[in-house]
Amino acid sequence: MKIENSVILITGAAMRVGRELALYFASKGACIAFSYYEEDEPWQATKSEIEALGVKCFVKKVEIRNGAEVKTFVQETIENLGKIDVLINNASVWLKTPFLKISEEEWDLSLDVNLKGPFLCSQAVAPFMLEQGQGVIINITDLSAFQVWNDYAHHAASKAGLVALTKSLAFELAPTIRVNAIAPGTVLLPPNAPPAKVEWAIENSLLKRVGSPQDVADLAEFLIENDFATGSVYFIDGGRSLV
Amino acid sequence: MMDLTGKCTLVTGGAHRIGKAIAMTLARMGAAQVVFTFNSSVEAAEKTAQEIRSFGCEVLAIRCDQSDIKQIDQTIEMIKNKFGRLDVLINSASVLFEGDFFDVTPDSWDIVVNINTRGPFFFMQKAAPLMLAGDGGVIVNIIDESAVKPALKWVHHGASKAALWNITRSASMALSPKIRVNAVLPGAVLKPPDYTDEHWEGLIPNIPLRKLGSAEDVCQAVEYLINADFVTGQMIVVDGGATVL
Repeated sequence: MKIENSVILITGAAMRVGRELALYFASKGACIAFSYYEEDEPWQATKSEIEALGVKCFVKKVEIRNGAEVKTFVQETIENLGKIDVLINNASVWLKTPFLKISEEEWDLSLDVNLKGPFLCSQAVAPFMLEQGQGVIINITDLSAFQVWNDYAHHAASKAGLVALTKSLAFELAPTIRVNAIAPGTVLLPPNAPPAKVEWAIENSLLKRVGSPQDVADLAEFLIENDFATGSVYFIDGGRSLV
Repeated sequence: MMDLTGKCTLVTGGAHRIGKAIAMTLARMGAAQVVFTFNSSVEAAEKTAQEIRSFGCEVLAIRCDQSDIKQIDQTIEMIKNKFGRLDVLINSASVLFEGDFFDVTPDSWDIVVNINTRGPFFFMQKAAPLMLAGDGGVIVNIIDESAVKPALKWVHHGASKAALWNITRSASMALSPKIRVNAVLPGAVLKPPDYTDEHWEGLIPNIPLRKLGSAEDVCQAVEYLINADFVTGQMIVVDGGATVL
């Protein structure tokens, strides 16, 4: 699939990796729809930067855990941008709590945002993609789906679930829609990450560095463009999964 | 992103099929030198060399039976003497022998494993010092579905490719951070010479995307890996979803 003149919907793209994906694909000539969640997220600045690249942008505040809101967002994206060619399920929460202290509410929050959200978005978008005869879905998972991260039991379960969902959708939505997952390692540290955290990330990679959101964008570009790729997880982790 | 300008590249088994397509891709990407090995047909190798040359790069075709370690040594030595560097190695040379569990003979086992597994391993081991003496580099090993999905029809072939996948990961650890090592897993992308059209198209119902791939799908993956500065020890699958099943 060609990126130029396509419509790419990205969840959670007001900032961080989602924002970089949106700006990169906008620079390649794609129209962008994105959701944000908190009113204080810099969604207006991201929207302005996307539009400055000469493409259309549709933005909406969406509670990704709510099926009705997701459906409205998808419907309004079609009304504003005409179609959806690519869905990138990027919105995610990142909760760290020891297993014995995870509350039912926190479990639900993690699983609902990281797994139910992609389920709802995919189910809302897929009928349009099937009708138009093509589509690509990319789910952003992470290494916790494959290796143990201490104090991230709920997070890891949600991301492992997303891998299973990726494979099921690849099978059920083939041959019209291709569905893959990206598992990034450290590509963007949180703001104010302590130097020790940076050093740890560098030390725990084979390539002895951290990545960048552009690395994720390059991989997503490959997955959009390669018409024979479906049902797999693609790692972009500097070799961290081997350390 | 790796700029191939001024870079020396090597594709094993580059005279025809996927290896040839990859060699052409490296030339198109701007490699200064495209070296490829071949084993059987001199004529095919000469024709391929001519086609690659049309991209404006220097081309060297080396005859190499990679089941013989000495010939691997000689190939790398020749590249070192002629070009003084090596930046990209694509282990594409492979044999595809059928054989079910009770049919595999010791001779057939040796041929398959020596060419598909031992050859790529020693190519990596011999090429790495030359790469490390320069700017480092990128290695891509071409495996296939049999590495992750056992098929009774290709018992020893599957073992050879599964081993190559394992070695890919070991090599990524041994050669980091200066050399990145990854694998590409193509599905049905190029009809084997002994397949009839009917047999080849008969694979489609077992591919979720309900179509056959192309050499271009593999070349895209190789190009991605050459440029993907943060990817090592990984597998890029381009199989139409066949391994999901």
